[in-house]
Amino acid sequence: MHRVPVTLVILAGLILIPSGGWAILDSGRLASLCPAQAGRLQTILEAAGRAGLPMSHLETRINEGLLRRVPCQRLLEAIEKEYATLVETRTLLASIHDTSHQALILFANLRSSGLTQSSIISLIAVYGQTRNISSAGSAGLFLLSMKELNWSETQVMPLAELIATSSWTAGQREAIRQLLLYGASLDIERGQTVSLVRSGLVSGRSFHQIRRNLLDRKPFRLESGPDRR
Amino acid sequence: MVVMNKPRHHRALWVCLLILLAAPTWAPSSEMSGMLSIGSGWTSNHYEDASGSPTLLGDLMAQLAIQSATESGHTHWRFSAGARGAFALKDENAILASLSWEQGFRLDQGLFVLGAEIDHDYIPKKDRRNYDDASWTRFGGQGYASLRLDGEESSLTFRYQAGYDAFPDHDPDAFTHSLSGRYAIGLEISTILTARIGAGQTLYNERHPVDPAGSPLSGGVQELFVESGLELEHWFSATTGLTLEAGFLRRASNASLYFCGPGETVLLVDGDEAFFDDFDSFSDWHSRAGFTHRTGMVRTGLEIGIRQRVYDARPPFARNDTPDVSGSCSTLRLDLGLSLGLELSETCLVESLLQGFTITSNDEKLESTGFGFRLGLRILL
Repeated sequence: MHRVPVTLVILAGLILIPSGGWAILDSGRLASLCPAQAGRLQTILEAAGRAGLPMSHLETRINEGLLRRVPCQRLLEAIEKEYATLVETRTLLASIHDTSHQALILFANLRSSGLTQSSIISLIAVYGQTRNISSAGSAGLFLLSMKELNWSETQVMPLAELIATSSWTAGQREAIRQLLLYGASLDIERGQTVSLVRSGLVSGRSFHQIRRNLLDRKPFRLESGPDRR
Repeated sequence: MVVMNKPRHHRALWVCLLILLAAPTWAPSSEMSGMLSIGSGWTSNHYEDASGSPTLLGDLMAQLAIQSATESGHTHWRFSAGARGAFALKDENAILASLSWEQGFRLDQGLFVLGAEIDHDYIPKKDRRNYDDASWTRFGGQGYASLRLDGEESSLTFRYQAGYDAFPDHDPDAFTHSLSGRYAIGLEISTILTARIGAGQTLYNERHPVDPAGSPLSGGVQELFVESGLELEHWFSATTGLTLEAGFLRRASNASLYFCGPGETVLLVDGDEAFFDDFDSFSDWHSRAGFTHRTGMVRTGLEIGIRQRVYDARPPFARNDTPDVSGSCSTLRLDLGLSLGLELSETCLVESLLQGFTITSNDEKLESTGFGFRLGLRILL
């Protein structure tokens, strides 16, 4: 239940704080804690190094797993999956001629956190036009945070794409989330809510105006509030 | 007492349904939404008075909305029908229906709206608590017009509405009309301040003030009311919000009461009669705080409210129905509510509500406490 918020904090940290250097794997600790899996993990790291993937990212993950005392077999499976995600993401980024580790780690993290491949492709497509890693990260975080509230990625993707091309502040992005929840509280169908919010943002309307437009489109009467006054 | 005309009620419902079904034909680009809600609960004090009548409750409601929106405005039809039951109080069971229409005209910087609504509460059982043993079946109709002027961060709305409620078996038939103004402004991106003010009049045509001898006067009872309020809504994040509200209501009424005597519903000239000239005028202040939070699939709401009402001249009554003519009645009500919603899916919500209240008053017949709960299911169609 708390996996997504924790991931969001970690991801937000990754986006806001630039990578400061290489992580160093404590091989001795790995061999003593996971003797059966240590060899396979080292092989994955070597393969990553040969392929030009960010080894430090995988080393950090292994260190993190060891510190959190994740069972060795589960740690191995997680690192294998992380490696596969890095390979897949690098292939996608190659299509927009981006070879930076920063973008690779961001999109791989978003994928590992639960975004579908199609969402990652959509975000990479927008990133290919803007080359704004911060906005792309914000869009990914937006998708994850709405997913936590039971909204599907497909439903909110039109807004995530807009966020990926914008320079909105964290407060403004939070206000967009609030508008979506406000629309849902008025029993407006989600697709229609997203469409109304998006068209309002695109046409430069204020958040107050978009909120008012949503209120105009509520299907049913409110029990209390403007209808009854 | 008027005998109810059932076939007439049914005809009205059929007409509503036909209008509703015909609506999409002249609104080809319309969107249709439906909602079904069902719930059950219990309350320890249904009438919220010293009678302390407990009962199980049940409700079922279906709503249908058809709306079409264009650049120039919108058309909106809404229909709802349902039933509400209080199992230990059969005379509270009701079948409810309403039909409303609204037409919006988009202005350069605003919106002009015309609307109308008819609604009906059909209550088949007679009111056993009441002396005339009649049903509280009601027909209502109202129309309204509103003009909203839009700014970038604010909006100013004026609204006039007028309506009539008819009770075939009772006498509170009344025409009510009011004019209100409402100003909402976004102070910050997540803070909205709303101020409202309104005034209106209610004219009863079957209720009359009485003279000191208890004889009805020629004109009907009239009430004038003014109200105002302030509401502040602030969102700490997309999922956590706080609402604070304070309001004032003043009602001036010419209603008077000829009191037949403690426990008497018909006049027995035994010396305990009394006349109260200004029986229904009061001032009322209230404030409310609501907190909402959402985590994943769970919505939580907490609301507390306080309301104080002071009557100008109505005397407080003792539990044995004896008035205390030296004082005026006042009440203080505290409310507490906790709601929990579980979103099973995009279209299905399980709702639960736990609420309680306490009324302290110098009128012993109004002093009461109560609590209740409801568990319901809401499905969007």
